[in-house]
Amino acid sequence: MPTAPLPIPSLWPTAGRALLVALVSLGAARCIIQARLLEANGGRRQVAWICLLAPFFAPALLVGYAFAPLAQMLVRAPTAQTALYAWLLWTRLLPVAVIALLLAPSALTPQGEHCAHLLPHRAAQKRIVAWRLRWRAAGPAPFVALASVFLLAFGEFELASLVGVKTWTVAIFNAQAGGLAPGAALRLAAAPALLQAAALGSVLGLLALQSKSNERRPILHQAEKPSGKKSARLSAWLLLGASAIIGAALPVALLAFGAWRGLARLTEHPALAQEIATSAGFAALAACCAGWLAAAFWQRRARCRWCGFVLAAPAMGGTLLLALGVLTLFQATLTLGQLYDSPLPLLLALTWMLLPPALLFTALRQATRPAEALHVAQLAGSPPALFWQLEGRTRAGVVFALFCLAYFDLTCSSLLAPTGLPPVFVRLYNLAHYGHSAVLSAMLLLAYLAPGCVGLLGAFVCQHVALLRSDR
Amino acid sequence: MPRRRFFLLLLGLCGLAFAWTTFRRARADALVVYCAHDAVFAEKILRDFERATGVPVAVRFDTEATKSLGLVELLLRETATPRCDVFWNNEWLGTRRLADANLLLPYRGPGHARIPAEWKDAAARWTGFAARLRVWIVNTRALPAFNDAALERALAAPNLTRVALAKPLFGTTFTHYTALWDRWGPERTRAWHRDWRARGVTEAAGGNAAVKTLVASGVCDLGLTDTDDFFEAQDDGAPVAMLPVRLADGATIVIPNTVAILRSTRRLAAAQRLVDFLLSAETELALAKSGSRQIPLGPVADANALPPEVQTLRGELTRAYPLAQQPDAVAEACLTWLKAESGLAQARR
Repeated sequence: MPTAPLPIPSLWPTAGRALLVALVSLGAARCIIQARLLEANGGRRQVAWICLLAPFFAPALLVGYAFAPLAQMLVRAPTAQTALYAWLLWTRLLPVAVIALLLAPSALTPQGEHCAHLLPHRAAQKRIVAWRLRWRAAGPAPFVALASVFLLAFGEFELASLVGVKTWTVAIFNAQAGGLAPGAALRLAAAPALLQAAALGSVLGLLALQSKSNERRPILHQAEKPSGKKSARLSAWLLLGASAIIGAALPVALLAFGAWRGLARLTEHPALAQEIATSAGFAALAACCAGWLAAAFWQRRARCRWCGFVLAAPAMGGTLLLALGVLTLFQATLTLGQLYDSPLPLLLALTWMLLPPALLFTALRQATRPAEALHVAQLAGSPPALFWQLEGRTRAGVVFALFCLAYFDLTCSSLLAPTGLPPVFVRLYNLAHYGHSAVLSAMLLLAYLAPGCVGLLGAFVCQHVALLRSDR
Repeated sequence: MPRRRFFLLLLGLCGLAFAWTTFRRARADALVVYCAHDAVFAEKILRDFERATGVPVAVRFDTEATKSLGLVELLLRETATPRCDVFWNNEWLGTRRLADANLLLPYRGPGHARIPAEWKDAAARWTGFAARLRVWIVNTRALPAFNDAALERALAAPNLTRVALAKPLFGTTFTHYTALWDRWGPERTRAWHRDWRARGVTEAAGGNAAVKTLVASGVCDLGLTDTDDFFEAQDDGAPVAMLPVRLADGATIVIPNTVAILRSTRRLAAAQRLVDFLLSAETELALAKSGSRQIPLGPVADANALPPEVQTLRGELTRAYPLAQQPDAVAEACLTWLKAESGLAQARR
């Protein structure tokens, strides 16, 4: 048995690419934040948030399927193919950089931050003071954002596999399919895991150091209107637009264009509804479990939050390693081996996978929670409809976001789904390898729209239940 | 509030328990089939079996990119916790590995009897059916007059970036490599492989289907694939033609599907029914008429019922390279070398 980490193909190119994607994401995220588009009042704020988050929630399969013909055209130009992959990855990870920058704690008080921004920076001496103040004001946020995006880009598997780019994750998946036992595949992943652990350790260390000096960055308040120069705002809108169009709108449009001819033939695939239901069932259970766990960690003492972060850390290494870890656990352990071909391994992996975003969403929810309004509403004995407006719908939104992430998962599902319960995206992934067809486009579109229907139905039911209870 | 939470928790647990029992009950009855054949074609056959016999089937398919090898490795890994009853493989080498590992149960049913001896295991641990041919697929816009001479010219070019093949570690490309290994020997096969790579041959990540797409879309001029992928491109109206791959002695590479019952099966009667169903003339005819145009190996009552292209391809069966007689060591040595070439040699079990 090897004791030292084994050399693995494509490790350093993947790391270099991930670092580049992280740096570009960081620059773009700073540009978007400085334009304060996400804090403006009214419709523009919503549009900015939708543009930002849409690519993150577009499933990798959908994006990969839409861009597969272009990737295939570039098969003889690997640099161009890699550039396409890096661009797609950037669109998906930009929201992570923005949110990490928004949420990471600052060493300065809000007043100090405001002063730092007011300082002129033309005179050379003052420029140094201003720069040092800004550096302090930024705190660990840029490093946290950089490391978070790096981690996710480095551990990415699904898009790379679909676009045909060589990464260490694809190499490990192929090795595992080619006969390497999950335990051996995990040993092979020791070197990348060390790199991931270093990045993750630095993030957690920085956060731990900074959290002692300040609680949290008090942003996400609504501003009167976007501030900053007009050109900065324009650049920010361009970045958001490019990200949303490439990462979400264009794949959906391409799919819808090809799908309309195949809609009539969907009746030939009666199993699709069952597979969508299977995926939705797994996703709903995992979202509830992860949401509940995150809330439980967040609502208790700071030490509990740290336990949550530590527990969530393995999931930051990417879904492939997580799925292989769970597979090893259930294949190699005698007691758990009894549950190997049951829904439990997949449920466990999905819940674990959702834990980091669940903690992030919980933090976001807490940061934007209208505590005073809720307190007044409680004192006044307000009807449930008001609580739904103030807090309930945000909480439901968080669960729905987690549901979407689990529903669109491909890696954990393809490795851990029990026989006879195939999640819909595993089957569609297999079919996607045969190339584009109208029926497959229609199937993908239906599978993609299904969670939206579930979300709308859920929101409608929740709102009406709250209204009904208020009427009583 | 706590009471409400308690009831919600109770409700959730009841829901989970109900889902669990339903799943267990459904799984207890179902025949578990691992299938490496293309899902688009195999699904219909398996649903027909369900309708004809009333035996529920739970299928696990493999991905196109890691076709067959992934499922074979999974079966080898699952010996401690077996769950598969019947393995429908889309090739033959992996099934033989399972037979060598003593995981397959011999079964001589009526289906086995109708398949000629050269396409089945003498010990009846596996039986071949519905084959396809290894072929060159060519884009007719790039190479309008395609024949053996044109092929030779195209392959002699210093730059092979417009020639595509799938990863040789998996699927029928691996079978193709073992045939070359057997006929040419290790040295010549290695030299040929390295020469092609040095001349920039395009290795498609998505298996034979990706090769088909590359050639059909004109990104590559020709590629190595199977007849089923070629017919798919042809049916889509792509400008493609094909030429069977021939070894030095003119032998073609015919790759049958294989079916086998796992020794660990707990549903033997149902497994035997499925094997007989798959090896029947009706299933072979259905697969011949499907988009994949598989070539029947057993006798078919009315040969005219076969599509004309399948009738033509059936003539190639007599010239087939004898895969079943290939020594075990060939595939093993070839696989070990290919794994080493892919850079994962040190990570072998």
